[in-house]
Amino acid sequence: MGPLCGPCLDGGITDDIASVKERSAQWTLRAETMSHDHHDEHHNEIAHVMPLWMLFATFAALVVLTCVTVFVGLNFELGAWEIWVSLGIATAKAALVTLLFMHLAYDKPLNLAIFAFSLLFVLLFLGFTMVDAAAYKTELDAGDALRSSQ
Amino acid sequence: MSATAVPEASPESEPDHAPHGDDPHGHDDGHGEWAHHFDSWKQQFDAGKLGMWAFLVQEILFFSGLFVAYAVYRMLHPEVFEEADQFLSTAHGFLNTLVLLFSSLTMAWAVRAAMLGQQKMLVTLVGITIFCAALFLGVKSYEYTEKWHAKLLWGGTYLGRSTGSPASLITVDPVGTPDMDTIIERTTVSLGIMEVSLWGAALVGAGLFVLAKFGTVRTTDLLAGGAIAGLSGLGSLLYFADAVPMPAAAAALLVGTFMVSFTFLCVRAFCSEIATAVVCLVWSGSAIAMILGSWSSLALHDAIHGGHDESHAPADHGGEHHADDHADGHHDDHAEGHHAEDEHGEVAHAGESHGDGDHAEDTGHAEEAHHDGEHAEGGHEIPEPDKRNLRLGIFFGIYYTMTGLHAIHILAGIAALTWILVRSVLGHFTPDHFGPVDFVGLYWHIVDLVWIYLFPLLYLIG
Repeated sequence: MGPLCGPCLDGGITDDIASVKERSAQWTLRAETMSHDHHDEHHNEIAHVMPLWMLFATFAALVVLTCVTVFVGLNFELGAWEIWVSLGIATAKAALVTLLFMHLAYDKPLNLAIFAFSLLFVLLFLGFTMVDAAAYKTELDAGDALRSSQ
Repeated sequence: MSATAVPEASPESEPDHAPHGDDPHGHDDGHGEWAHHFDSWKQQFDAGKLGMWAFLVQEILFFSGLFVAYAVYRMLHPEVFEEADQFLSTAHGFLNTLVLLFSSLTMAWAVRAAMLGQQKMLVTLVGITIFCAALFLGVKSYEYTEKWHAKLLWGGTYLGRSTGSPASLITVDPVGTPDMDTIIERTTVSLGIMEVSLWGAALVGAGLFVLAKFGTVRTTDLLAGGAIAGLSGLGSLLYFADAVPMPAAAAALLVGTFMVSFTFLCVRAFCSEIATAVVCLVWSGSAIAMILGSWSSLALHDAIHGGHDESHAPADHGGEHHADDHADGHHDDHAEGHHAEDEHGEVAHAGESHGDGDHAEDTGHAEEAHHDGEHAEGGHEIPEPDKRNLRLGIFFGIYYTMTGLHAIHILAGIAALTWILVRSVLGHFTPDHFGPVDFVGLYWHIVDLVWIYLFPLLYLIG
C-alpha cells in the first residue's frame, strides 16, 4: 500500500481480498439488522430513501417530456413562442431532476435555498446582460445594414 | 474532481482504518467511524452534502456564462439561429438525451442501493451509469467527426485573423465543402481509426483486468504493465514524431494500448489489485460503449438517410444516378456557386437540388429533398456553403464551447464514478456512510441538467 493511494482509491485499507470480503459481510449484516430495526425495510437513518416506483415514474416523465419537446420542435411552427415552449418543457424536466433525482424535495431546505439563489443570480446575470445588449441592438442593425449595402 | 472534495475522503473517516477505541471521538458499535470533527454520521453527511451543493451552484454559475453568450447572440442575430439547427442531427441529440436520462435513473437508483446497503446492486448500477456516460461520448464523437469533415467548425478556423477581414473570424469555411456522401465516407474512416484504438483499449483492458485479478505479486504486475505501456508508448511517440511510418490504424491501436496500460501502471503502483482490476474493467467497458455509440450513430444516419433518399447512397453508384438525372443545368449551378467542382467531381449532391426551383419537377425525390431541406428532418442535410449564414461561425463557436465543456464534465464524471465504483467493490459504503455515492450522484445529475437545456437550445429551436 503506497501512501498516495490512501484517500483516492483504497482508502488506506489493506490489499488483501479477505478483508474486503469481511467488510462486505459486515455490511450485509448491518443492512439486515437495520431492516429488522425498522418496519419499513426501505429506510435509512440518515437520509430519505426514494421509493423505486418514484424513480421509474420520474424517468418515464422525463422521457415523455423529451419526446414532446422533439415533436413540437419538428412539427409546429410556433415562431417567437418556440423558445418559450422549449424552455418551459426543459424547466419542467429540470425541476423533476432536481426535486426528485437530486432529493431536493426531501432535503434540508438550506440546500434548496442555495440552489434557488444560484438560479436567481443566473437570472440577474442573464437579464442585465440582455437589457444592456438590447440597448445597442438598433445601432448594430444599422451598422449591418450599412455594411451589406456597400 | 468534484468527488475528491468530500470530507469523507480524508483517511480518518474510513471505517476500520483506526482501531476501535483508539480514537476518543469515534463510537464503538464496531461499524466504522465518522471523521473526528463531526458528532455523528448524519452530521458528516449533511455537511458533505452542503459542500457538494456549494460546488454544484458554482458549476451552474460557471455554465450560465455560456448560456448568456447564447442568449445575447441569439437576441442580436436571430437569423443565424433560425437556420442553425439544420446543421445538427436531432435524431442523434435525442438518442443522447435518452442515454443521459437513463444514466440519471441508474445513478439515482445507485444512491438508493447505497442507502439500503445493497452492495451488488450499487456496483451494478454505478457500472451501468459509467457505460451510459461512455455511450454518450461515442455518439458525441460521431457528431464532432461528421462536423469536422463537413468543415463546420468555429468561426475563423480556416481563415484566421491574418487574412484580413473581420468577417473571416465569424464565417464557417466559405468554400470547398465536400458533399454529404464524402462527408459520411470520411467520417466512417475517422471513426474506424478511433474504434481500432478503442478495441485496443478494450482488449488490453480485459487482459490487464485478468492480470490484476489473478496476479497478486505487485512487482510482476508492474513489470508486465510497464513493458506493455513502455512499448506502446514508444511506438506512438515514434509515429507522432514522424520517425517511423505506420498505418494510422496501427498507431491508433498503440495509443489505445498505451492509455490503458499506463493507467494500469499508475493504479497498480499505489493501490490494491482489486482497485486495479476495477479500473481496467472500466476502461474495457467504456471503450466498448464508445464503439457502440459511434457505430450506432453511423447506423442511425444510414437509417434516416439511406432509405428514402437515393442520393445518400454510397458515392460510386450515386454518382452515375445523378449524372443521368440532373445532367443539364446542374453543373452550371455548381460552377457558378463556388469552386467546389474540383472536389465534387462528377458526383452530384442531393443537397443542391433542394434550393433551386427548376429541379423540383425533375423527379419525385428532388421534391422530397426540397421538402426535407425546409424542415429540420433530423437535420442531417448539411446545407451548401452558399446557403450558410455569414455568422454561422459564431453559432458553432457557441456550440463547440457548450457541448465541449459538457463533454469534459462527462469525462470528469466517468473518473469520479470510477472512484465510487472501486470503493463500492471494496465495500467502503454502508447505510451509515454513503455520502460519496450521493455527492457524485448529485454531480452527475447536474451534468444531465445542463444537457436538458442544451438539447432544445442547440438541436431543436430554429
